[in-house]
Amino acid sequence: MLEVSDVAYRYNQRQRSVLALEKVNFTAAPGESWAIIGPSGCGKSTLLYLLAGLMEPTQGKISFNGRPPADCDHEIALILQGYGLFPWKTVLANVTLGLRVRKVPLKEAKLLAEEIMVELGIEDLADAYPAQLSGGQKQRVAIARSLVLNPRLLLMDEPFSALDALTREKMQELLLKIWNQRSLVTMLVTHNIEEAVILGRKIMIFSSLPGRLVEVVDNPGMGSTGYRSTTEYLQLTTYLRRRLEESKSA
Amino acid sequence: MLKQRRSLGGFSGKLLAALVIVGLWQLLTLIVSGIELPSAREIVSLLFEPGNALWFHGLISARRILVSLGIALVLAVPLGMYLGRNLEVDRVVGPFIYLTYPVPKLVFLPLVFVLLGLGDSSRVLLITMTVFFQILVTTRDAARSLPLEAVYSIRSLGGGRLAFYRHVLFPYCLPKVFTALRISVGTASSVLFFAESFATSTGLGYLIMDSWGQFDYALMMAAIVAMSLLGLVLYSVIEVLEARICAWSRLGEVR
Repeated sequence: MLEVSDVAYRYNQRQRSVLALEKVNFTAAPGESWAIIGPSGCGKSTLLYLLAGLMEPTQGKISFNGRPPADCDHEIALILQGYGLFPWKTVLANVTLGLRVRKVPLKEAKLLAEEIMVELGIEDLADAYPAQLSGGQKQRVAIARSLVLNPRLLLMDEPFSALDALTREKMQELLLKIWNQRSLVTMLVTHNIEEAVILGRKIMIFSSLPGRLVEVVDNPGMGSTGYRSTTEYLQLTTYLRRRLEESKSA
Repeated sequence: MLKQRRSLGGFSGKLLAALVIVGLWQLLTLIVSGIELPSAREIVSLLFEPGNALWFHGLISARRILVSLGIALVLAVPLGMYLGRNLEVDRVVGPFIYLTYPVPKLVFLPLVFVLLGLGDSSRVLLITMTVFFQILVTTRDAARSLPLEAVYSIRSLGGGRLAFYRHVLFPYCLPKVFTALRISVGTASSVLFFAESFATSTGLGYLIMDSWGQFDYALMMAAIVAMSLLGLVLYSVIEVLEARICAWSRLGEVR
């Protein structure tokens, strides 16, 4: 269970102080898939970093299964917008890195990594470097690197924004498959309304700076076969577009 | 496997450049009158003459440069990485680096001799001081430029401070360290010549000055060539090491 209570975050940079997030409250149950949308610079990524335990909230409290994110270790995984792969490491070394820093023996780490790489169809890329991969391949490596840690909460910061339309759809399908197979809480930040509807059972709408949670929209049809061509899908994307425009102008 | 690319032309390019230089020298020996310049053949045969002084002095010079580069690397790389990532400390230490980096370290030669005596250690210290700052400043600037995403990436994987330095910062800085090292080899050779020109009877710098004083121009030129070769060999070794260790850094290069 992910609980976010009255969270605020303020950036203090030299003589400038910016309130990025304010009064954010929500609770995500195990196995739930969330999407976060909002105007640029509304603190969506900041919220993700707070949930990952990379930053401490200025105010309020975040807990995952009763503990602050910084103490959750491998239970929380984060996929960054630019994939976060290290160009000096091969694909296999990137995927095993999280295990290696946790002192998992190399042999065991390699076995676990190879298993997940087969699942994601990147087993042939083990010796390649990130610079030799396509955007879709990099994204699969980033997902493999997170999943190999067997997290309970998967955070993603616009993971498919740099991909072409077809690859993006493929990756969305892959993510749905992963979400169905593992009882994960997924939290996806996206600029793309359609993507939010495809991947979010619950969709959070944020207002512009300071980011406030304006509304949480239920999306019960998410994950069902042929959802993209249903009236429900079209109605929801239209509604979200309108709400996003309202929150932008507000 | 990665295809490794050597910079500054391939082997054939380097061989051609060497032949052109030898040819130009040969031409110079014919043009210049009033002074008997040794021919390229004379110089080359002296270089490979068994049991001559060149190898003895050359090995001493090589040891001095290698020890200096080693000390400078061991000190400057960790310090540069630390300063680059700890802005508060860098704010205190930075002004000292700013003031001392541009000072030519060669001017400290008399002081170093007074403090450490006339032995090897003073010459090694002089080279180390010069090279240290080049590597330090380059490493610090490289460490500063590390993208925030890389920091978040290793932290999100559960990596602590040690993992950050080992898996992220050090490999990130390494190509820049190699560049600094390659530049340092040239600087170190110049300082070596100067440091070996005073109060010593060993090293190629000494041999150049001594043979010059004895009008032995063939040996003087052979020692100059030996010193150039020493720099060249070190440069090439660093280049090969860089191509092997940092092959990833050249993958995105446009050729």
